[in-house]
Amino acid sequence: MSDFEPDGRDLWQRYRAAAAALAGPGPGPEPDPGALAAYLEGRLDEDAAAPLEAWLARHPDALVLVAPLAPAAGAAPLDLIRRARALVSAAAPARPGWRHGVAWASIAASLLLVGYTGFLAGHDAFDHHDAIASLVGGELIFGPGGGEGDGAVF
Amino acid sequence: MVNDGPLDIARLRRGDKPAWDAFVSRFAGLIHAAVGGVLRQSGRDLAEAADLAQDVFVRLCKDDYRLLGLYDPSRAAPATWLTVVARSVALDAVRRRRPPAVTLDDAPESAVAVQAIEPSGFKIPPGLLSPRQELILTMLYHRDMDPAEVGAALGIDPQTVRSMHHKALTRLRGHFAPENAPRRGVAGDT
Repeated sequence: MSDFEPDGRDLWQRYRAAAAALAGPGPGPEPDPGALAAYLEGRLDEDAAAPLEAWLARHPDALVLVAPLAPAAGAAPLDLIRRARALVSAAAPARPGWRHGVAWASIAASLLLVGYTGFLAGHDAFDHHDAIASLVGGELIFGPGGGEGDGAVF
Repeated sequence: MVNDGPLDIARLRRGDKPAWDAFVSRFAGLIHAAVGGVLRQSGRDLAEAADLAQDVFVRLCKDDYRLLGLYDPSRAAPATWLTVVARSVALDAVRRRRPPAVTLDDAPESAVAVQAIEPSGFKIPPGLLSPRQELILTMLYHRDMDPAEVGAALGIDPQTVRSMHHKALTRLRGHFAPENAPRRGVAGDT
């Protein structure tokens, strides 16, 4: 471009340097692929394209996202097709259905049952600590300093 | 063109295996070419293209096809949308794998030489350049594209690119004219 605007690059560099020195909000987050695709197809009007173009101007490496489409794509490697197809199994449904919910409910019920059983077992042991103490041949002390608490055997 | 038909997102999101296989057959070449284009432009090894293309398919179907579910046919054709998604995945990979920074001592003299620029003191008023003017200048001077390439990328005539470029530089010349330079040591400034 320097062929007809000799000072163009210098002016651009000064503009970029001055803009970078300004403390202010950036051009926003990366646009979503839908917006970029619409832009690439020329479907956005000037107002809709403005924030996207501002973002692209500040992220020059992302210009590759909106480069003109190739007229035709070649064939993909067979190994890629095989691996990509294998991502979705014929047997397993990909979306969780009612079976998914039942499975989680079963897990939750099992956990509750285990917890409740443990509580009952612990409670019974507390009620019969004298008998247990005689069985283990010592004295049961609950908690530090002789208080009731952790059920340690000494 | 084989990729121009609609996309049955509902079937794909149900985990329909024949639909997924057809989707892969239909778009694997396009996705592979899209990631290859980014790699080529970035000077990366094209051998990575197949793995990156596979990564695109993984992203499309993971989390219950969340990304695929974002496709809106009213905004763009599926081939265009998938091209952008594939390029984005490839660009992320290129950004992640950039070589580590070289220290100043290790860098050749030509790489560290910079042109003197005087940024301090200048204020850029909002709207000095429109987003499109800024983008055109970025394409011309940062990416060293020519007006025809810029026009093709933006879907406008190269002559329009030249015109917008000229207007943008006129505005910058006016802004950076000597009378806009910060005054130093002038009485009354303190």
